[in-house]
Amino acid sequence: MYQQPMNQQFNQQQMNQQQMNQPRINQQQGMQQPYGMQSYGGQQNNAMQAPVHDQTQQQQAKLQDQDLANFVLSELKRVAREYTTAALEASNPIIRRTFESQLHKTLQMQEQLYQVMKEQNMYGAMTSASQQDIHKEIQNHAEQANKLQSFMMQNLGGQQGGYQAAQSFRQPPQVAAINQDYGMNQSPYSMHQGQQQTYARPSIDLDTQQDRNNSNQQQQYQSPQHSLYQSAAKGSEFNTTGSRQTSSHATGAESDEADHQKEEKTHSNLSHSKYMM
Amino acid sequence: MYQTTQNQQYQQQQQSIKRMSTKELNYLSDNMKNEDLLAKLCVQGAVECQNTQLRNAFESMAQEHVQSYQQLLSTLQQQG
Repeated sequence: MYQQPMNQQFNQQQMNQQQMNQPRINQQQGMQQPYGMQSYGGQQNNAMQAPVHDQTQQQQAKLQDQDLANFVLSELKRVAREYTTAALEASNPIIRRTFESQLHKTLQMQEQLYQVMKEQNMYGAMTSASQQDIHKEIQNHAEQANKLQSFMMQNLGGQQGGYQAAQSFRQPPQVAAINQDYGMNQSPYSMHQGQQQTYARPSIDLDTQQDRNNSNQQQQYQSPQHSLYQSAAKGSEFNTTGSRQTSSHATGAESDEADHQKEEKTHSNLSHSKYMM
Repeated sequence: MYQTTQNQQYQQQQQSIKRMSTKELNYLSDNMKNEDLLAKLCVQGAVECQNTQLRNAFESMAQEHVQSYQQLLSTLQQQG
């Protein structure tokens, strides 16, 4: 812990340095992000007050650390968002790849900083979702998944892939297990995630349980899934509003994956055939 | 005959890959500015923070941001 007694002179020196450094940072910040200045500017006033006790000094030092860390954290978040926009809108695949890898790096750094801050108690504890709410969501979305399934059956009933996917939706074994020992599990979050995965990736169920060796069938399975998504997205009955935000919606996760696969494919095609240098 | 058309196609593709849209250019320069700012902020954090763990985190992050900056710059140089 940093709370060990510190040399007062050293602290004083730090204070001076901070006062000198701060205007420089504010200047930079002013160009980039006006709203960030407020949180940081407020802290500058704190630094101006001469600390009386060692303890208050330490508290202030911690506050300053915290402010700076929070500031950098929010900047990292903002930069991640900007990288996402940039990657989404870049047409040159090489530039897109650059943005994607930078986004990944930024996300990792943000996580790293957040973990450090959490360890140092610089970030407020989050409240975990209530079991009741989670249960409600699970039921709601299980229903939604069934509806989606019958929609799939209606539109591509004859196709094998659609039928198999339907089976995995109708009887998701993990969901039943989760519902049974519901309340016993101590981590609602991971439980929720498990649920999400059974819905998001029905193909995994299929692979492990039925047709692991038959890769041909797997391909047959995947392509109708994708075309289904496209036709479903066009259909007006397709209800995604509202439930997308909660992110456990089967179609949301599925379509993202399908889209990503498609992107991945086109881009690798591009880089292989056309864009090889 | 076939060879030449292929060559032309190849050249066209080369050109199209070299061409950078204004949007991409703007994003590259914006993000370079961001990385620059973040690197400086992290250096400030590494110098000022009294919490050792935070200071270490800032130090390593500053390095990474400089690397990111360099990577964006090299992309700009290669694609521009």
